[in-house]
Amino acid sequence: MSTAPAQAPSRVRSWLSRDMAERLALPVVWIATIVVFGFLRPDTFLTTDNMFVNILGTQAVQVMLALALIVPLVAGEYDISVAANLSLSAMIVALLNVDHGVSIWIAILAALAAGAVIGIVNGGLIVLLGIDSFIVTLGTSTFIAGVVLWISDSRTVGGISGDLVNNVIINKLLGIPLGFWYALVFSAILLYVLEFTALGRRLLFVGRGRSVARLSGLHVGRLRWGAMVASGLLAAAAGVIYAGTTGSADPTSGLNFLLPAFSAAFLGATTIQPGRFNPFGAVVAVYFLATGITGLQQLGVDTFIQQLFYGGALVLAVALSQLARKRNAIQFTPGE
Amino acid sequence: MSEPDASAATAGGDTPLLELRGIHKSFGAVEVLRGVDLKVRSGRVTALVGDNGAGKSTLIKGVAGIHNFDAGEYLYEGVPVEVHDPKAANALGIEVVYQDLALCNNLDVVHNMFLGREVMKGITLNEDVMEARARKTLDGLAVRTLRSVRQPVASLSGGQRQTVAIARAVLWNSKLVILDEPTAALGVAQTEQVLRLVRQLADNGLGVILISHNLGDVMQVADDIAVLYLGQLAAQVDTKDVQRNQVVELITAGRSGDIGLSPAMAEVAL
Repeated sequence: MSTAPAQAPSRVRSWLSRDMAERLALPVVWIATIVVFGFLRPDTFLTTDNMFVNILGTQAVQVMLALALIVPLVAGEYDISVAANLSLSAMIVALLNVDHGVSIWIAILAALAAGAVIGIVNGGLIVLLGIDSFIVTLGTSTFIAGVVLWISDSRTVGGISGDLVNNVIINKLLGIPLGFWYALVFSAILLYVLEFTALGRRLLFVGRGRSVARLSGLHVGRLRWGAMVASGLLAAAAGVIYAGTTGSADPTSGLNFLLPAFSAAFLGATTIQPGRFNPFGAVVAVYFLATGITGLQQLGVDTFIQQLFYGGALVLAVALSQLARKRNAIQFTPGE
Repeated sequence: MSEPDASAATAGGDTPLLELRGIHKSFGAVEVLRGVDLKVRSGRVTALVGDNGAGKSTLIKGVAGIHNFDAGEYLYEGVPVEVHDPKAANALGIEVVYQDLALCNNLDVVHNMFLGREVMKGITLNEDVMEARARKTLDGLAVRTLRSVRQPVASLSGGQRQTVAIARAVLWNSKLVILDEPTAALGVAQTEQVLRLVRQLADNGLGVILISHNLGDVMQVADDIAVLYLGQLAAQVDTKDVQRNQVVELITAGRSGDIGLSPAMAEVAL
C-alpha cells in the first residue's frame, strides 16, 4: 500500500530491541546446562550417542505431545487426554501391524484416525454440551486408558515393522534420528499456523477474549472444536513416533508423558515469544528439561530427580509467567 | 403509517439508512421488545435512550445480528434484509462498538482492529499493511495519537480504548456505527474527546446510533432522540424540539405532555 511506513515496521523493531534477554533466557540456560554437564562428565555426556540419539532423538515424542497441548491451550482449553491418546495410537499401530499383519502405513493411518475421533468426541462434549474441557478430557483420558488395557490384554506388544523404527530412530540426518526432525517440522508448521495465519490469530482471541471473539462474528464453537481435533491428531502422531522409537507399545508408559508435556508447554511460554504458548518455546523447554535430567542422572542422582524436575518446572514456569510479566501473563481461563 | 412510508422508501431521496418496524423479541416468557419502530438517517446521530430493561441492548443486538428478531421488518437503505449473524451485519456496513467488550486487553491494537477480517499476503498475514491501515485510520480520526499501534490495549487510557474501538468500526467503510455507552467509564476530558469523535462520524456522512444513560451527552451530540419505554418506542423526536426534562419524563413514564405513548398504552405497558 502507498501508506506503508518508510521505517521498518514496528513489529520487527520490537523483536530486535525489546525483551531480547527474556526471549533468549531459556535457550541460553539450556546451552549453559550442556556446557556444565559436558565439563563434569565429558566421556559420557558429550558423546553423539547421548546428545543426539538419547536426548534429541527419544525426546521427539515429548515435543510432539507438547505441541498437541499447545493448540487447545491457545484456544483456552485443556486436553488432559493427549497422553492416553498417545498410548492408544501406539497400541493401534502395534496390534494392527504385529498381531494382524496389517501394513505399517495402514496401521499409522488407523492410529491417526482414532486420534481424530477422540478429538471430535472431546470437542463435541465441550462445545455442544458446554462442559469444562478439563473435566471432559480427564474423563475421556481414563476411558481411553481403559480401552488400551482392554485391546492389548494388558501386555506389551513388540516387533513393530522396521519401516517405522528405521524412519524414526535408526536413520539419521546430520547424525540426529529422523524423529527429531519430524518434531521440528511439526513445530514449524504449528508456528506458521499460530503466528502467520488468520486462523491462528482467531484461536488466540478465542482463548483470550472469548466474548470479543464472539461479538466479532467468529465461530467460537467451531474454533474450539477444531483445536480439540488438532490436539487429538497431534497426540496420535506422537503415539506413532513413540511406537517407532521403542519398536513396541505397552499399555501404560505413555501416560508418563503427560506432566512433562504440560511443563514444556508452560515453560516454553516464557521464552521465544514470552507470554504466549509457542511451539519453539516448547521445543527448547523439552530439551532443557531432558538435558538437565539426563545430566543429573549421569552424575549419579536417583531417578526421583525426574519428578522433581518436571513438577518443579511446571509450577516455576507458571509462577514466572504470572509474576515477571503481569501485562502479558497467560490466561488460564478464557477472558471476559 | 405504512402507506406514505412505503412510497417514500421506494422514492429513495429521504430513505432512512436503517428502519425498523414493529420489532418483537421475547426471551422465553419475557417479551422484551413489543413492536418497536426506529429510523436512523445518514449524517445524523440518533440517541437511543431508556431506563435499564427498556430493551436497548436487545434491540441493538438484533440489529447487529447477535439475536434474531421474532417479528417485524428490518429495512436497510429501504430494502428488507435478513441479518442472522454479525458477519451479515458487517457486510451491510453495520458496526457495533460494545461497551467493555470491544477489545481484547492483552493483544495489540492492530490485532484487535483486524480481528475476523485479517488482511493476507499470499499465505501469511500481511502485518505491514494492517499496521499501516490501522495507523492511517487512527490519524484520520484526528485524536491524540497513540505511542504505537503495537502496544497492548491494556496499556491504553479509557479514551484511547474507545478511540481504537471506534476506529475499528470505521475501518471498513461502514455506513452505520452503533455505540453502546461509549463514555460510561470516562473522565470529563476524555468524554469530550469521544463525543467530538461521535459528532465527526455523523458529519462524515455515517449514520450513528448512540446508546447512553448520560442525558448531558445526548442533548449535546444527538440530532434526534429515540426513547424506549418497557419494550416500546415512546417517541423519536428531534433534539432541538425537546427539553431535557421532557426526555426524562419520556424515559420514566413513557409520555410527556402530548409526546409519547397514549395514556392507555403507557398504562398497559406497566
